[in-house]
Amino acid sequence: MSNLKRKKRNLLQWIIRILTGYEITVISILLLIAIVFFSTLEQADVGLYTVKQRYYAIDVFLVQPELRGQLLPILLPGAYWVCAIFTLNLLCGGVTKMAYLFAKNTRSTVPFEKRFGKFIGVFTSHISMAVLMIAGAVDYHKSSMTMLDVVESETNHIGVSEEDIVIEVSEIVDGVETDIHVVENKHISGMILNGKTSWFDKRGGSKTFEFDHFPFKIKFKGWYRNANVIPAKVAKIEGDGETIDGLYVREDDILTLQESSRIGNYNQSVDSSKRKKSQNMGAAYLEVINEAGKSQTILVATSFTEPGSSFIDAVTLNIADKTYGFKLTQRVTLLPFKISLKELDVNTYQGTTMARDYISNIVYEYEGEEVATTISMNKPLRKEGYTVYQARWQAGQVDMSERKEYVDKRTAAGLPLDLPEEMRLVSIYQVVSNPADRWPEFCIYISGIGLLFHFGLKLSMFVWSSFNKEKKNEI
Amino acid sequence: MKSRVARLSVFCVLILGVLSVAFYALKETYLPRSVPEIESYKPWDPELVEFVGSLPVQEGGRVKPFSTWALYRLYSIHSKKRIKLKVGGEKIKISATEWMLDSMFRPDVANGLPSFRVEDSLVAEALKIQTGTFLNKQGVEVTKKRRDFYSYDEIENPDFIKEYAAQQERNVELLGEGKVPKGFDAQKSNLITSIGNYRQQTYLLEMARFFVNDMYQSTAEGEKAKSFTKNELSMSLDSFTKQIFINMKGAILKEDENVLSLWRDSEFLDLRMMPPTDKQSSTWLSYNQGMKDLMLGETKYESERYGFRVMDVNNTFSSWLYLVYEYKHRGDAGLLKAFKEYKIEVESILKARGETMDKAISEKKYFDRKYFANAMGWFFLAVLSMILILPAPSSKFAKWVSYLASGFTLTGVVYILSGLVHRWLIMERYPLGKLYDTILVITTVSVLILLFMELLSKRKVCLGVAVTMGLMGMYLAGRFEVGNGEDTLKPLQAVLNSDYWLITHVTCITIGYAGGLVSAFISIFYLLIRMTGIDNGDKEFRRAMTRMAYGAACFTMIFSLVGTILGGVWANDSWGRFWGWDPKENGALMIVLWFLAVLHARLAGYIKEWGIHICMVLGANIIAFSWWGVNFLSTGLHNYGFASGGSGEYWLNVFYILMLSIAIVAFGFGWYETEMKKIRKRQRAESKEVSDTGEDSETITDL
Repeated sequence: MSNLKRKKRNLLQWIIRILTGYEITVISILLLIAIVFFSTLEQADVGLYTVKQRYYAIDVFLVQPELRGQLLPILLPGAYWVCAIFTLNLLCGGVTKMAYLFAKNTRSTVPFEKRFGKFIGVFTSHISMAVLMIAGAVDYHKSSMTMLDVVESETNHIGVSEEDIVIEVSEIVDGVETDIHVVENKHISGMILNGKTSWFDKRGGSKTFEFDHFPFKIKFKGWYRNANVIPAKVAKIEGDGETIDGLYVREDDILTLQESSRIGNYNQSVDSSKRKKSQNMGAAYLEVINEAGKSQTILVATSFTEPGSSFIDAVTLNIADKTYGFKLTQRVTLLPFKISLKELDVNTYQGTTMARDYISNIVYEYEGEEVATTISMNKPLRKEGYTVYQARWQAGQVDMSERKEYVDKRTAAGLPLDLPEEMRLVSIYQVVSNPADRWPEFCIYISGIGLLFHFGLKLSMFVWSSFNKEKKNEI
Repeated sequence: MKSRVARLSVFCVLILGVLSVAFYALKETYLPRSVPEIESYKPWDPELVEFVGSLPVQEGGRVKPFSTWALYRLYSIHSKKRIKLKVGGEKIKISATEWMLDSMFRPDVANGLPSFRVEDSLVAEALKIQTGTFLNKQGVEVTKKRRDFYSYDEIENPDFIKEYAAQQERNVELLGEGKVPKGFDAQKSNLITSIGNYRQQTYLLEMARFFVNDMYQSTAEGEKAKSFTKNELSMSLDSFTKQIFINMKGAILKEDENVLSLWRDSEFLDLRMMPPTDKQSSTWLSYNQGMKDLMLGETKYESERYGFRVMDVNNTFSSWLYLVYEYKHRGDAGLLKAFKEYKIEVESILKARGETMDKAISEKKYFDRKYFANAMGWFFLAVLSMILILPAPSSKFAKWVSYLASGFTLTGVVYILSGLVHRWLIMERYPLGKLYDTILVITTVSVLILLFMELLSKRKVCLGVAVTMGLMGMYLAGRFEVGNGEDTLKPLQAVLNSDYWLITHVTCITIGYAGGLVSAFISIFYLLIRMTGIDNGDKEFRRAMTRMAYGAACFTMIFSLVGTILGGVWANDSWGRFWGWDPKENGALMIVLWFLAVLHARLAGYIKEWGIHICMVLGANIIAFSWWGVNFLSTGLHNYGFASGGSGEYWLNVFYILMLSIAIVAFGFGWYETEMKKIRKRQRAESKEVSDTGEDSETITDL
């Protein structure tokens, strides 16, 4: 080692030295710990969605943790880039170690077999960890997720995203939206108007979008993730947005619909009116700038959340003698397959409404071909690059005991279910397309084998030496 | 030798220091209780208590013995297994079943028992609870501290009802936001919920009592039941409802109707003790349903009014009337007789359904056997044994005592394992799905790992750590069970209902926690020993300790890594994503990352002996954060593990501070020792230089 130190390295050697070094490993791991720790604490205040945008998004290079509404005097790098460097370190370290192992002019006096034995377990697990990190990146960039609600005895293939809110801009012709342009969620997701902002924080920024053959551009200045649109006659409080056309926006609490629904699922006694305000209702102020540079601010919102609040759907403006509609809405996906829900079988624990399991008996239809199958909790359906999960279910106004009685009678009589409308449940599926869906599973098998081999070898050597030592002592 | 004695004394002082911090913290949560004298209290017939305790009750999605149902209700209200009081100057302890019988059959007596734990004086103030010395409802002078155990009679006041309604609303609001009350809110909410639950118990048989009082009339031939028409029955119910309102004091009637309805809702407890005759139904018949049937005139009551000899299983209400009647007229013996008939009825229905009472009986045995309390006893004996060998750990005496301690420890482990197997049989699922289960498994795994290490090292340190961890683990399990007040055997949510994932993911994570805590405790011992120098600078001993801590760290890393990724794979199958940055996931990831960082830092030579051990101690904080801390954040998808804070959060903070303090002090020692070494090395080098070069060097040194 000391000889190596004395050697002068060229630039490439320096880069390799840094990329493969333990310094990078340890520093990036410690930074990740700090990022994970602060983002976990911050979740309790601002919610998971905001935290993901603030700490883990690709366009985050620096983040200043916020705790109970106060920015802490700490700066951390964005998790995405720390993970990227860590992965690079893992790969480079692995390759370099392998190169050393097979190098002919190695100075090591340890036989190759022994060195290989020590190397292979660690190497395998390191590479599988690198693959795992890459799987995370693939998931981040390439996966999509949408929710599909299917009522019993009905079919659906239109997925509506719960997390992704997009801006739709269209030309309104005879009251119909045409030439729809969509500003995808990834362009606006991080620009949430809650919490405090730092100088580098994208929450404080703005973005301008232009559209093909539309005579205007829009300036997006951030959005409220859980908004109440309130009539101007209601007195404002600190933090409320500006009043446009007699309405203004107030940020509500922080749970996503997905989160609040799950809480509802576990605690079914939760008052639904209390839960409603936790829903994912976005609102934003858009500045529409025409070709002459004249601007007008409009307020767009996905819906309203509180009684007394107003509802805004598409906001229309006349620009250059044409009518244009502006809308903030949940992303809609037309899935390439259809799901028909035959029956949702909800098993509850005795004497309770607490679900033990729920199983959907469905017919999956893809390109005219129909397959009867089931989807249940922890047992998703994987087909054609999509994975369909049993997310939750809704009883609505259905009397479950009456329904059970009906189903039992029909089943006992061997009759088809033919559920009347008032007895139909809604099953909600999460549909995910992720090219790296199964990678983590394979990684864990490979990594597990590698680690068990390596540490098993070490442990057995340790035990062996301990017993030998004892024997020697006895002699 | 003198210096060894001195070092041993310093070691003991340090241990005492750590213990005194623990005791100080304990004192903060310990509630001294005044044991009241209740002359009129008459203990129940033990045979009746035993019999009723074994009767099945359906609650929380499963059938359990009455004694378990009563026990968890007592835990949630009283935070102790028994209520202490004095009768005729003699101290007696009332079990949960006795307390429940008091609440149900003689609420006036129950109202005088010190059932409520008031932990926070501010809460007592907020609820206008009288403190200091005052006359109670019986006219007896009592003295209550601001933090004490209170009876219902001492607590009840009109202001409380308003507070009750307000707090219930606040709780619903918080629940809607996916949060749980914290701090003062939590304390107040807990007490209010306890009082509400207690009132449910005492009001449970109120209607049955009302009927029994009203429906019998004395005649020349003895007591006979009155006849009721449906209308009369309905009128009786109406007067019963009015009675409830009268009980709530006239003044309150003028208040908000919502307050009244909330208060009234709290008075009905859904007790299900009768299986349904309908084989299709799995829901047992509730006392309340029987009462509602009666209100709607859908009861067979009229045809079975006299003596209730025929138990109407479709009307549990009349069955309870019979119990109340028997108790009123024949006391304990009558109640026992009535319960025996009740049991025969239950058994015959269960038989017709193809079911048995075996599981409830088995569960009663599980609680009676006190596996974990016994395990704690054995670990305590082991700790005492280890203290005996502290002055001379290398002696022959120490060797034999350590064998004895190992025996005690193994017996403790056998008790825990037996308890776990028994839980598995009762729950019919893998016994590792709840926070309570993790305490048991972590303790067992930690002790087993340490015993294995002891087998290899034979230095008695691992044995010492094992017995300490065993004792602490069982103490924690006991405190958690009592403090949490929730059935530890209750069923799992649909998402967790998978033995495959519980066995793989949860087991790996839990073993990872155990490994991390083992490494931390070994390191704490190492640091204490090294800081006091009682090892006489034995380098081999230090190396061995470091190797053990390092080995435990590798063990932790493997299981945490595998467990965390398996968790991701499970999440991918149930929630549709491998990783979601959920607090529980993040906690597990932090453990993996921490141990990866430590192992790599060790490999790279950034940390040596001191560093490794300090990192292991800090690792304990990360494990505590992941295991407990994230539950107090009340956010994320793992909401089945949420906790409301209170003394749990307090203890967690004590643990964080303790670990951090040990790490900081050790860092100071390590830094000092390293610096001293450097100085000594420099001095040696300089003196060597002096001897080599003579006066010239001396001149240089002077310079």
